[in-house]
Amino acid sequence: MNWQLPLMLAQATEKAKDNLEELRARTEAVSIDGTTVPDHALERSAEFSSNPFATDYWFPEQASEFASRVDFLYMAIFWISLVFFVAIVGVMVYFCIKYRRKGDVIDPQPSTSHNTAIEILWSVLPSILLVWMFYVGAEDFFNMRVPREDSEEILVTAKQFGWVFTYPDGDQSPELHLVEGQPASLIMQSEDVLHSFYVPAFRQKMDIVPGRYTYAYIEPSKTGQYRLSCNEYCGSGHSKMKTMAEVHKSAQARKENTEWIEAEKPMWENGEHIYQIQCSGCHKVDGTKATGPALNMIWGTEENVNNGEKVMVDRAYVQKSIWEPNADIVDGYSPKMNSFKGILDQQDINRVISYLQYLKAKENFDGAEEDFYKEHPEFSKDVLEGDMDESVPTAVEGGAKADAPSVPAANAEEAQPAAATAVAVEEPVAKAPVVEAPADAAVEAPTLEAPAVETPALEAPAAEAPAVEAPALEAPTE
Amino acid sequence: MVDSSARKALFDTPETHFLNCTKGWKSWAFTLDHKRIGIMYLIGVTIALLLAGTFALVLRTHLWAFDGALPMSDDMYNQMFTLHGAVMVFSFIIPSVPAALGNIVLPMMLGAKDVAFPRMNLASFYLWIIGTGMLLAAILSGYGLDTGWTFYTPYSIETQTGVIWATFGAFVLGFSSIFTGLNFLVTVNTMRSKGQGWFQLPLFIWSLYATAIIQVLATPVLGITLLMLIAEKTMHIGIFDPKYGGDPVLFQHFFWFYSHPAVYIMILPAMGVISELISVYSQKRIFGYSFIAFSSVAIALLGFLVWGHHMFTSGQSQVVTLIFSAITFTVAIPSAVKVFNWLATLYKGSILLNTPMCFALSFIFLFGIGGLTGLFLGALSTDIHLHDTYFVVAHFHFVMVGGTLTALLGGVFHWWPKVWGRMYNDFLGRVSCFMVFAGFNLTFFPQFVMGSRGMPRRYASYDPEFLAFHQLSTIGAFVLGWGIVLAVGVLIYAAIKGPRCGANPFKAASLEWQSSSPPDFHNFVHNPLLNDPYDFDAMVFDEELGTYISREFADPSKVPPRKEPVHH
Amino acid sequence: MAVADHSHDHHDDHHDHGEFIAHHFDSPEQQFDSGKLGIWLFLVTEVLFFSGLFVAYTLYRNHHPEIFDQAHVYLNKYLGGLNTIVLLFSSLTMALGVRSAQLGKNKSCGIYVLITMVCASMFLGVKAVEYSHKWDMGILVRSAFDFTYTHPDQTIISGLSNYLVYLSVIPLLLLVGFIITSVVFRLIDKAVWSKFWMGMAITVGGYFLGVVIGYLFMAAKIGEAKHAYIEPVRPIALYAMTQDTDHAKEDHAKSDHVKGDGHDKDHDDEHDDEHHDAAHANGEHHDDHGHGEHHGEIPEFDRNVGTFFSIYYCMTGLHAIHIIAGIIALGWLYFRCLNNHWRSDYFGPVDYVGLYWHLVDLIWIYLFPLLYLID
Repeated sequence: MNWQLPLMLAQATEKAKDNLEELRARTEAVSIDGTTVPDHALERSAEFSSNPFATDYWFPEQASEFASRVDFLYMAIFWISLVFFVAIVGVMVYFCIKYRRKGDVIDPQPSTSHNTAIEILWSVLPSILLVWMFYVGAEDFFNMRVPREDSEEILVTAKQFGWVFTYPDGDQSPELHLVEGQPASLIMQSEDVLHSFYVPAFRQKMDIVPGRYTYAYIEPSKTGQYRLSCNEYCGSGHSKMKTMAEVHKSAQARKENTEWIEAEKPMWENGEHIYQIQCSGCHKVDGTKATGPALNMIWGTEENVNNGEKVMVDRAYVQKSIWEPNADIVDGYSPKMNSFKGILDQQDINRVISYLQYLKAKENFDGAEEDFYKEHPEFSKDVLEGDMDESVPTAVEGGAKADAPSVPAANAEEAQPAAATAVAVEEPVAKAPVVEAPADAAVEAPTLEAPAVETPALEAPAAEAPAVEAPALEAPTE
Repeated sequence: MVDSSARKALFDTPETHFLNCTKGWKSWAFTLDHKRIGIMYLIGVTIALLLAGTFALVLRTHLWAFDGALPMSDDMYNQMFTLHGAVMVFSFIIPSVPAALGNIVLPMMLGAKDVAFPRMNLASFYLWIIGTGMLLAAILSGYGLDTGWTFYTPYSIETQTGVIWATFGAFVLGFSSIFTGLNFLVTVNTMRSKGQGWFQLPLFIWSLYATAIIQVLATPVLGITLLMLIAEKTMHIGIFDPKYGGDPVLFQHFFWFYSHPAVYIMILPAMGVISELISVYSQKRIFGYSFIAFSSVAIALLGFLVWGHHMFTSGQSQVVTLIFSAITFTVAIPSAVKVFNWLATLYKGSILLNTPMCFALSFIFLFGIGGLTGLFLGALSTDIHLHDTYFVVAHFHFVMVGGTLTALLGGVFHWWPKVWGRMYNDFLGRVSCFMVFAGFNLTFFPQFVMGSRGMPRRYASYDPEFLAFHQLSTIGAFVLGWGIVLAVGVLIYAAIKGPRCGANPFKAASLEWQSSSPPDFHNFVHNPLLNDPYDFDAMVFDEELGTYISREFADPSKVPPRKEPVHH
Repeated sequence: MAVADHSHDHHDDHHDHGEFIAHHFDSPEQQFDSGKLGIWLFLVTEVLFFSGLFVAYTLYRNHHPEIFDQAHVYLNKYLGGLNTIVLLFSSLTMALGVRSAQLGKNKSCGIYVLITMVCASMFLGVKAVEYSHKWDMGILVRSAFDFTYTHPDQTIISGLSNYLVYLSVIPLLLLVGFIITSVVFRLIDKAVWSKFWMGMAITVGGYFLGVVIGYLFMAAKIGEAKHAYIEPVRPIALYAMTQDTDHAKEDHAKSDHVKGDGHDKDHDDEHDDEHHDAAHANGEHHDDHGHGEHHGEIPEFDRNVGTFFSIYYCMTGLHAIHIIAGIIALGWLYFRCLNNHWRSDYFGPVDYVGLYWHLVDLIWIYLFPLLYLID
């Protein structure tokens, strides 16, 4: 007799309730690493109100490349509808006047109740127009949903009731910051319930579904500040879940003019760290097969899985492999991997994915080391402004230092990348010329990298180490 | 050959009719008479309409100011819009035309004595009461309900409000709807008068039949969806909740698989009413009868294939999105052609602009806008921008209020004299129609612009740029509300104290007008003569009775010759 | 100009049609046709009602074939097969009952209806055995799934499942209540009522018959042999891995030679014994993840299997509710049989309930292979 049974059912219910309490407690946007969004940044978002004079009365500004296409179709449908509507109402009013009953005399005139020619005409003609509307809408839809090759990937985390955007270099902001002319591919996740990303000025909208990734794609074409709101009802704070999207003139301008929540390392380095602790036992990054497949080339490839089908190794697949490892196992491997649900959360998976992308890019790149980051700026911390040679940008130093101590504070028991990187706060400077990061080849810059990389397990508990050690390591930088 | 006293016996207002043949509350509570059940339904749905309408007025008042005009928390606002939607959809609009009007009229149009299963009909009404009660229990119990009428997961799983009460209430209301539909399908199939073929049926019957098909096929899917939601909420079975391996978008698919056909439950009977009104009040056979009849069934069936157009931004696959958009456009054609057919019916007619006709014309205007704005939402690129904004809110209110409610009011006015034997005040009736028309347009037209400018729906506060639109909308809402109240007032007064009228004051030709007003308990004291329901020339005015009767019963010496050959 | 056929309006003609023709119908044929169409439409709604669950089954099977492959072995297909035969037989007796009613033979109709009810109750009895056994093992819906591995030597016979007892309380009360009611009616000389309640008591007896037969199956370990052995090693090995990296490496080495895809069951059985002994030998392992002790720590693999059981319980549970509703409808028919209501021109209700019963049977015919049989 399993006496635990009723208790287990009760516990499951209780746990669900606890989750809700926790969710309720979070009413402001909180950064993924446990830092709090600085108040001034929150205020800016809250105070932002879209400029009512910026619209053409009917539409918001056209701030993305496909906004004009959307507006064109809208106006086309509008004029077609108006013509038909005026015709219908006009005819209706005309008939009601002309054929109005006079007094008590009821004398309808005989007229046919069937006319094949007219009936076909007024069925076919509108049909043609409808086909055209469908076609234009579908074509534009594809353009709006398929990202260009050179898009930068920005992670969007929606939670009740705020937003956190994580940029390729790991920095975060409660607002969306884009660069004019630089397409962005938004990779969106929810921490709790359904939300939806909507920027009217971009004419782009996409639901954010918990438990999976959804994607939105933007090609900003005009600088300015635009309203960004949650567009799927998500609870009591839904009306307040607003922030803004800002399009900057250049990457440099974006870097300088924004209050960032600084990350110490780019995402992929954090991912490397996780890899070393959790994955390196069974997966290698030098191409050799071990208990599990090698990871250096696997991103974006198509693999055969054990039920005879093929899968694409994309975000969804990586997430599934980490949380439900026994689904879709690559051919030739056994179901030995245990699940990391509860151990690695969504953001950790994002970091691991970033690392896989980095490895793949590295494999495909043949050229000098220094040129790698020119080719792939998304993997470097300070190339967002477009120039690697610059010395420490003021924004990084000023904002970051103040926040740095709070970064490692939370989640000490987790494989916290921030904790490990606290040893090398001023990395961005040193790293530029010396780009070696991969775990296996950590020989080249021992003074900087070795402590962070070699014994991550030991590093993790030393959460309080950082600020003190940083200056010491700073000295030998070039 | 029928003599004068026989005519009187057949058509004059009788002493004993269905309203007074039995008395006392029990004779109504346990009645099996479809007409009484229809009246009780009408009272019930009107109460639901007024209640949910009050919630709407609260919402609109709060939105008068961009940061909320009433001292109401966002939480309370969310509950208001949820209950407005849930009560309106499940308790008012889905039962309104079929269960209230349809119950009264359908058997009589078939020349039958009642529906096929009168006890099931009464059960349907009691289920309506229980289901509506459970929905309202969500408010009264203090738990409230704040998920939106669509109950999207995972929020509906997590929220601690009265979701279980409300979904169970909706489940019960679903059964009410299924019973009505099942009853109508069987009645039309087996209880038509002998010789009354499918193409001798009035178009209202066709539309109710198509609606009943949807009710029977679609509603069970809602039932199982709601049960699964309850199971997910109580036992965490892991089908919709991502924390337990479920898929939130799956809920949306299941939900809209019912809820899209449900909107056709709302509009098809309304269109059927309009067909009747237009033809009677222009005294002309409907243009394109076959098309309208077939298109009703076609819309009903096609309506099952387009549910994904509510989910273009939900994360469903692109291929599927394309298919749904394409099929959505095909569904537009039959509705558009119906409008053209109605206009062609008006051509060369003899048009009487009384209250029901005003509502019918108002329908063409408002449903026209509603339908055309659906095109914006069916096209994918524009829908990305407009989905879940006020544009959508405006679109569906145009079709549901401008469409179904307008047609319901028109139909109720039209058949009111038949039910009570008393005439309504036509002037005030037309005033109410105008108020509804003007108030409605003022309320919802600005919302199209708001939505195009990016105002999201279900927001308790908004950016100041939308202020003017919201204020216009709020003013309109009160005009609309008072218009509805006036209409209801006119009808109630007429039922009690209106001047007596005859069996067929408007020279209509369908079978229900060949009984007395009010009708006998068994509907017909005689055999109604079968004729073409749109053969208006078959009805002639009888001076003595002061109403129109069919030629076969009239005094031959006073019958004018036939005008045009009878159409078959 | 056709005349509507309502010539029976001026009624006093109850006796013309018989007392079972409703007022609003013109003829018995019209009434029968209406009822027939009505019940068919109702069956359509039932099919659509279940379709939601079948769709959910299909989707989850497609997306998580590994869960479905693993989970269904926990179901006892012999008990399921027994239930299938019982229901098929009950459909036969139902059809015979309809035939009897058509011929106006109320007595034999009553007997057939009674047998149908007994079969239905038997089905529920077997189901109760299945469910209670699963609950004993912690096989629940997804959120509470916590499969507790029973040692191969321990079976359900070592103690009567308490869940089974709880489930049987209501049938027991009904049984006693019906018998008493029947006796009381006999004493006050209402033979028909007495027979009716006795019939209902016999019906409930069918439940206990089902429980006994199900129990015997379990005792004979028919269908039990497999699931206690399948795959327990892998989860235990996995669990060890997540607990402690040192032990992980150790178990890793051991489990390396276990066939990966788990379909080679015999091979696995062999190894399972070894592993199990080894685990026993490493005393601390056994304690660490012994039977009651790892409730919050079940590896994710296990919990996912619960998804299958969520669907299983929903589908079979909803089906069982329809069986119960069917028993009630059949009870009503039984009562009318005892009152000799059926005649050759009036037997509609038997026909209609029969159709419903066949649908309930048909749904089970779909459920059984999908849940129990497909590999």
